[in-house]
Amino acid sequence: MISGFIHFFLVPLQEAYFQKALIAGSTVAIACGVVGCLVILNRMAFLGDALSHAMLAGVAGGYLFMQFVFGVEAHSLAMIIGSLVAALLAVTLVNFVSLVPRIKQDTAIGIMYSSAFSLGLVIISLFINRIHISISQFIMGDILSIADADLWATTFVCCLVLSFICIFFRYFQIASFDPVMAASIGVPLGLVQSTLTAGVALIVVTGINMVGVILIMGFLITPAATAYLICDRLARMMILAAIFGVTSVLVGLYLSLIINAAAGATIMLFASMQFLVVLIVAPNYGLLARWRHSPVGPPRKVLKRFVKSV
Amino acid sequence: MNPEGNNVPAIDVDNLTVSYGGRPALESASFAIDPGLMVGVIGPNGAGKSTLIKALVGFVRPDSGDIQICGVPARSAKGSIAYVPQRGDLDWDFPVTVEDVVMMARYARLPWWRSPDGSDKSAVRAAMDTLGIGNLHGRPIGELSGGQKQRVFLARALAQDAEVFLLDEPFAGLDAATEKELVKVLARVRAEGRTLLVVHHDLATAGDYFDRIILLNQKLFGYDTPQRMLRPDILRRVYEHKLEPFKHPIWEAAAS
Ligand SMILES: Nc1ncnc2c1ncn2[C@@H]1O[C@H](COP(=O)(O)OP(=O)(O)OP(=O)(O)O)[C@@H](O)[C@H]1O
Ligand SMILES: [Mg+2]
Repeated sequence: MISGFIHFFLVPLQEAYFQKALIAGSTVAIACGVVGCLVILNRMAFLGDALSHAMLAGVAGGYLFMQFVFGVEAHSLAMIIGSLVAALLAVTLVNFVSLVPRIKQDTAIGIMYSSAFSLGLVIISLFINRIHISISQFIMGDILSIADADLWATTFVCCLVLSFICIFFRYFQIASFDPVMAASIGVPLGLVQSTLTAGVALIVVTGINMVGVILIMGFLITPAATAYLICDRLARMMILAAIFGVTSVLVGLYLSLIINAAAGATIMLFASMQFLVVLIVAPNYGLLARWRHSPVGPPRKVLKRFVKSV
Repeated sequence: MNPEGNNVPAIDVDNLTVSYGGRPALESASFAIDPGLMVGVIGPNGAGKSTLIKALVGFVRPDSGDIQICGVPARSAKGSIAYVPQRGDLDWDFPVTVEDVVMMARYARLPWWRSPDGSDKSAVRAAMDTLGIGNLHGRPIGELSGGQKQRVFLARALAQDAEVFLLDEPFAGLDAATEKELVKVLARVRAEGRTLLVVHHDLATAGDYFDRIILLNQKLFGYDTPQRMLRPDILRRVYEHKLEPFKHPIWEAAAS
């Protein structure tokens, strides 16, 4: 019985595709968790969404560039660089559009997000015979078929972003918490902001390979939000977010084998379940804790509000 | 004011104009504050008081004008300015503890590759003890009362060992005893020869607290001693005649 159990966990581990999925998935999960904390605290979630959608155009651009100039097919570094350029353009455009005071930043991002994605789709459909990018892979990702080159690129990028955040942790912390104070002690806010944006862009590019454009934001934010419900210090929140991300990848991958479901989506679903459980049981900020401290008592107040809203 | 007569001003603002999206918040303000003074900044809501402070620390970029802190351009004076934020400006759900916040002050002078050492930790502890929050060091910032929060940020300013202190409404919403205690702490800072710029709303106490008053409402209405500045005719202009209904001790003092 026990050996059967162990057997079940060990067999997939002998498969190269599963090993790669596990390693790459966990690496991205750790980086996503850490960066996600800063994304949440700086209220950048929507910007990340715009970035990820703009990247389709970047991926296509990088692909075409390498193909036309060097005759190389599907060069993954070129596609990463292309996506970064696209991300950079997207941010610049968002800032440019929101120069007009009446267009607020979320409006600008909303416009960007769809137009950049459309641009990507148009490019790909124009060169449909030359570009072999599967749009469904871009949208859904495919964690179970990661190329070696992607694995290396992912590991490199994640280590780069993580070490940046570790080294300059104090400046990210001060700039997110009290930007005016940060300015007063000489923290270059613009540089911190663009570094963070670049970090998000890098992580999103590498993550898109695995879970796709739609799930990547969840990957970035859900484990971080889960950790936020438990932690009162930024460093701990980051560590815990990384752990929640890794457990999602681990459990999600095995679960998807058992129930034979799409791997990326199963991972994300497990991350969301983790969040729901923590949302309810978190010691200080969870629902149970709030009910315990509320004089009206738990269910009545919530039920009332619920009934009202229905 | 300064004994030698050749001291450079601690804060020297020349023709400062700041606007947000084309709308001016502060128009050609000029003043020079000598070292060792405690100066109150007074004006109605939206007058540009926070904007003035944000321009002094370099958070907002002025349209024009020149700012010097202790004789050097504000840009290169980093670290010699301690800042206490207006309470509504912060996200109190942010995951930091009291000790983390006070430690931020030390990063002003610490190079990025060096982590805080014993002297930093003892400076942080001393500042927390001065303000009576030593026992709160591990508490998340969001769990504190308004008065405790204000103490934390004052402790952070003390721990920075700065020459110039900029405080944005440090006494807002405090009880009288706490306010008195914090004022004492600030008085001690001034006694050490440091300069303080304090945004303040209570006209009744302004005369007691400050050596000089800056009256501000988009434009600078004056920078002078409380006796000269806190006069009904001037205040009425600054507050655009909205103060009239209030019977204020200042009015009576001035009338007699
Ligand atoms: N980030 C911003 N973007 C656009 N306008 C701003 C911004 N910050 C301030 N303002 C405007 O600038 C003016 C001055 O604001 P400021 O915050 O400096 O006022 P204040 O004197 O500190 O007021 P209060 O007493 O309410 O704190 C206001 O009209 C305000 O609406
Ligand atoms: Mg203000």
